[in-house]
Amino acid sequence: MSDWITIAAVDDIPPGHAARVEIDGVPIAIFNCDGELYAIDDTCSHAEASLSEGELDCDFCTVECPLHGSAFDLRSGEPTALPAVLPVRVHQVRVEDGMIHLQLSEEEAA
Amino acid sequence: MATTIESASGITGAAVETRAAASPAWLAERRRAAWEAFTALPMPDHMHDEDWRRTDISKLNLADFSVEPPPGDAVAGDALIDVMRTLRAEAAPDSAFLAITRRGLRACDEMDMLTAQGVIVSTLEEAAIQHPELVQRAFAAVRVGESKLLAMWDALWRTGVFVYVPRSVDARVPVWAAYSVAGDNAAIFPATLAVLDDNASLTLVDSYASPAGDAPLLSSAAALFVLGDDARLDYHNVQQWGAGAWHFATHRAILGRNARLRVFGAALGSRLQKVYWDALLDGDGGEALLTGVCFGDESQHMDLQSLQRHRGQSTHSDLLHKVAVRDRAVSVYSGLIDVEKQAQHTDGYVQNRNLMLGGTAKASGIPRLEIKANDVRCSHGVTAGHIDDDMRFYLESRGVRRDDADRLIVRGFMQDALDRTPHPGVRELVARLLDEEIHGRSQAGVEAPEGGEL
Amino acid sequence: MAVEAHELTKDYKYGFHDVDISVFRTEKGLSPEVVAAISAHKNEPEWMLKFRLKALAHFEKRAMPTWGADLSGIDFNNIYYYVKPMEEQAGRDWDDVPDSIKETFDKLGIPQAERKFLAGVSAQYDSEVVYHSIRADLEKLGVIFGDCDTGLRDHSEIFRKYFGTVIPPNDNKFAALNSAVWSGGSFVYVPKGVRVDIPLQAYFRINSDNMGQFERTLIIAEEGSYVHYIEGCTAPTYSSDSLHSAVVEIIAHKDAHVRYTTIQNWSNNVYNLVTKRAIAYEGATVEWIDGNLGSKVTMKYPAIYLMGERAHGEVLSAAFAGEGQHQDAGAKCVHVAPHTTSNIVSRSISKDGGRTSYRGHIKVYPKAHDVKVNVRCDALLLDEASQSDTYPYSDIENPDVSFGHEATVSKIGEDQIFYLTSRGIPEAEATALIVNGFFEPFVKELPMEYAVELNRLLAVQMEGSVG
Repeated sequence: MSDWITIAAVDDIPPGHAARVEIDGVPIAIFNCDGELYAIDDTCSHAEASLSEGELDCDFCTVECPLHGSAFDLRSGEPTALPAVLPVRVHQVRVEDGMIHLQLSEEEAA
Repeated sequence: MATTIESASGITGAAVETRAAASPAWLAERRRAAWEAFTALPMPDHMHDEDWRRTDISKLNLADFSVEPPPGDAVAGDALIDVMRTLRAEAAPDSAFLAITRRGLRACDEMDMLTAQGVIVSTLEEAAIQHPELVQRAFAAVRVGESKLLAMWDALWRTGVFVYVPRSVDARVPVWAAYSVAGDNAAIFPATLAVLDDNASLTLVDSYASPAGDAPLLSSAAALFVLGDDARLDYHNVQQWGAGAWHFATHRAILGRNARLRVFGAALGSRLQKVYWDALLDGDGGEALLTGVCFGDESQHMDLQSLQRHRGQSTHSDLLHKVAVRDRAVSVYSGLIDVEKQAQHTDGYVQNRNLMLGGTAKASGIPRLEIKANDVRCSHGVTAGHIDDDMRFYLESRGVRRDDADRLIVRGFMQDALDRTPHPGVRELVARLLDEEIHGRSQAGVEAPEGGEL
Repeated sequence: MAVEAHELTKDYKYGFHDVDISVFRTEKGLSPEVVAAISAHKNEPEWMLKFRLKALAHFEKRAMPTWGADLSGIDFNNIYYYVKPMEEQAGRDWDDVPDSIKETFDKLGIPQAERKFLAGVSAQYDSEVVYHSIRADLEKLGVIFGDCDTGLRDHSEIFRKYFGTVIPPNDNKFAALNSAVWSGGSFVYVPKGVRVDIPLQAYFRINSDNMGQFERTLIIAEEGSYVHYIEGCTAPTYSSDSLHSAVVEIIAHKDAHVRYTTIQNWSNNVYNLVTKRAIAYEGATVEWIDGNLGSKVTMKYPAIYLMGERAHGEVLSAAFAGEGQHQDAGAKCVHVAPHTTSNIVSRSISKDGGRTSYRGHIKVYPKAHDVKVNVRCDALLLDEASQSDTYPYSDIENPDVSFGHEATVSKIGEDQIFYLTSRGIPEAEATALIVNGFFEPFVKELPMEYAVELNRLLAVQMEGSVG
């Protein structure tokens, strides 16, 4: 199991906002949807684009890649439309003592 | 404002100045202009530059590298030069031999045969002083600042090789330029330029090597050739950099009327290489035959980009690039046959064949055609495939073990490219080196005794 | 560590009540008001309005492509994005139609009523009778064949499930444009196990509202079904609209088979920029039969994503570029699942300074083993002024593949011409025969009446080709 890493204070990422962090050289995107936090790989599985620059849809819990429009479900990492066909990894997030902690997925990065 | 003294041993303006100070005025000016272009241009970026989309060099940090070896024992490291000498003796014992390291020219043997014919063979820096017009003819093949990495070469090369073959002279022996480097974080800029006058002919070999191992190394090389009418050049390039090397090279030739160019490149080493082959068939009747063999294993990334530009009439170009990849290696081939409007009766061909040997190896092939003349025959093909099961079965059913069968098949796959090697000695040498790679008996780079920074 | 967060959710403030429909319907140019007017006029649900407005935002933000054909002639502000004012709708005078077009109609034997419509003289084509009789048969099978407006309204659940999932609005600039202002186009739904034996033709439902600049087509083939859809026609088709940007999405479920045939012969003022993409699930087959004869510029790369095991994709592309034309076409096959196959054949001819480009992409993902792909492109250049390009990209990321791509460019062989002329056939006719033979792999896949028309059209195009 990978370690839990402290990322930021809860207030650093308010609802409707996203942030991008790098852990061991891998970029990770963190989103706040109506108070719920989600973390996935930042790099789109289709092309070199940053999902933390995309468009967040909290009704459907998805983020849309800014490059070609594929939306990814923040809970499963699965794309909900082409042209992306592969999922992005989902990472565990929890809030404790007003701080956001992240645990990297066990799967290998693409 | 604090002033920092730039080290003249890094990739810095100070290093350029040191070289400019030792160059004739015209060359000093060129170096400075190249350096200015270099600093103005951004590094190639796989996110924004189409050419580099599949080759990511974001982990390359130019500031890490030294263009000068640390001061010290110049003799240590001669062992590596002996290795180079041995390779040349195996393949072309009669050739004129120049050995170049970061310290400059370290050996220069067997020139007499050629000088007796009136052939000029010298270091590039010497030729720049003695024969400026000839050297400038070759430099004209590169526009100062046309790309960042080429501009780096243009500003910072220190020792290279220059050959001039006069009209109607058949150079009796080949010229073998051996560039070698040893030590961590070394940067070297091989520079081989040749000008062949009308009806001249020459065989040329560039060999690049560093010790086997992971020592980080930067090589930015160029080989530039100008062929007069009816001239013939056979150019071989054998790349055996160690597994920590970043290798960038431009091999470019301009062909006059009825000139013939044959290029053979063997890419065996390095961590990542991006090599450009450009042939401009300027005069009518020119011919360019380009052949590459590439073996990638471990995490190697091998990228070849080619341009066959047909400008004169009745010209012919033919490129064959054979690639075998296994483990996590990646091969990229991108080429263009460009036939200009007036270039009627062009024959242009490209074949890229990729043998995928397993693991998570990848191959990308992008051969392109832009044809503006109509009375032409142009075609290209790309294939990627695994070892044919039928062929494997055939060999195994004759008692050949699976591993050996696979090696035979890979070697067989490379054979038609090897058959196109102009110089028979180089062909045998590359065949042996390939065999060792295929058998997993060798790593990238050459086996050389420890010690010495070259 | 310090992190910088930024806001990502966007609020599309437009609602129907903000818009005065009558004012914006007949203006040129694009704006949220125009988009909202379109949606209001069609009485669309809220989600579609939001979809359109989001797409508009993407379209405006996105840069023009830096590759492909020259699109600098498109003036986005000088286009009607929805309904044209009555004066424009009346069309042009029959006397204004170029003689060459009238002659082509003669030679192709086009019926009079059709001629006026195709030439832009009449706004209606009375195909209602044909269409109604077919509809009855289809309804019995449970097949839906209508337009997308109806699909959205009457079959909203299934429509919404698939719409925009194959080509999302931000896929590329022109998909974004279409997603904002789409109108017309077909909605086809074939239930499980149903074979539709007659080809469904877009031509049946044509009138100027439907045969629009921004058609949107959605085809859903359920498990084990079969359908063949045909759009376009070989006859030269005049369009006063200079920009056509269509989107076609196809979903072929398990073991389904969908064939989509296009023959496009737009007038030489049209920029025809199309995004066409299909998903083929397990055991499914999708075929694109794509003929590009007209337009000033066409950019179109029919694509198939092979997402299920044993799925198969075929693209058969034919392009003809005459004076002032650039056909930039091709195909894309993406192998996501193992045991999939694809085959692409492209034939193109350029003459009188025309330019054909083949642009293709084959991608095999790392988990797609046991994949076979074959691509074959052949181009003929009929004279010195013409140009042909091939830009094939292949990214093979699994070693267990068999991939081959081959392309040739040449002129018609002298020995072929000689063979025919030495048997008494005049050179012009000989060339025409050879051109026919060259396109044969494409023509033989067309329903007979199209094939006959196409052969006649090629003969017409080839007249005067030997100079």
